[in-house]
Amino acid sequence: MLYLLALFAGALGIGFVSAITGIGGGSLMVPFMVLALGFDVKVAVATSLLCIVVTSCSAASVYLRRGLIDIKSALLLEPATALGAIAGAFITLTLPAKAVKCALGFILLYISGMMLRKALAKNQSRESPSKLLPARKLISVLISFIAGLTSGMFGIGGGVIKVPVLTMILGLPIKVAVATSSFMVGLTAASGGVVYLAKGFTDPVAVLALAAGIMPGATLGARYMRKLDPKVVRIVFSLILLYAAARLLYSALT
Amino acid sequence: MRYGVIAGLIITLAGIVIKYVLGDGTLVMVGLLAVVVTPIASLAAISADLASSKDKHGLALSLLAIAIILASIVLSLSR
Repeated sequence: MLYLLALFAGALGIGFVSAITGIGGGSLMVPFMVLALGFDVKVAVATSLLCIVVTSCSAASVYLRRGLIDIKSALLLEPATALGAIAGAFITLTLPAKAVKCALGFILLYISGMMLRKALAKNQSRESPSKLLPARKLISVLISFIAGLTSGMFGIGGGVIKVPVLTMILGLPIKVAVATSSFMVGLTAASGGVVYLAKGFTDPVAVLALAAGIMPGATLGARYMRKLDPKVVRIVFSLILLYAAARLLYSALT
Repeated sequence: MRYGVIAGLIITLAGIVIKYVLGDGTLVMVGLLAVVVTPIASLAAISADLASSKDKHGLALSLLAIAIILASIVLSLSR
């Protein structure tokens, strides 16, 4: 019972931070489950992917209704992303838990660095391609495969890779890119999640507790977004990720 | 999409209760599968839209994505 409450409380916090920073909950959910609650890393990844499907579908249904999703771009990238997620899930299932923890530690270090850079950047100039060349499409498909691979391997949504691809390479406006990424994240997480589900790694009780916490947490976060300085939140979030990465790397290497 | 995952979560919750009382976990699996299948079902609905609007390129890509995901389900269940 206590662990259910801990999962719910943690999910509330993760939903709150995710809504403010715009980063999906997976990068916090897996370290929280592994480091704070002692879950096996593969069970944590599997459970996180199912939760991502729930949260992403909730957001994507709103974006679909508002017509914010660029279906053509999503369809261009999704086959490669889904393939990557499935390959990533199979890779994680064959790797020893310590290797997964170590790789996850490095991924969190990268996300933490990205967040810190975004928080400290003064001007965020963005190149907007006037003409979509076939080479750009190919590059975006290849990067999407990597986004899927990281999603399937580490139980993260991969929005941290997809949004920059959609804005910088395919030239979508940021709002459309976030909405399109949100739609794609659900499909990608479902592709990877189904592999873990079939192999029996998903914890259904944890999925329910996390999903029940993340949704109100995200609503609270969206409500308090204007009152909090996103820069400060991003710095705090990146420091938490840095700490989680250090703990994961330490536990993997000792 | 939202209703699909909520239905999946409710089925999972009912399944957990049934598993606790009767020891049968089938409904839990059905609920979790419903959650996973929801985005794929929405993609199938988009494919139907693309087919009706005769967008062959979009339809091919959406069917490719569905085929990859379905192949992964078959592959993970068979291995």
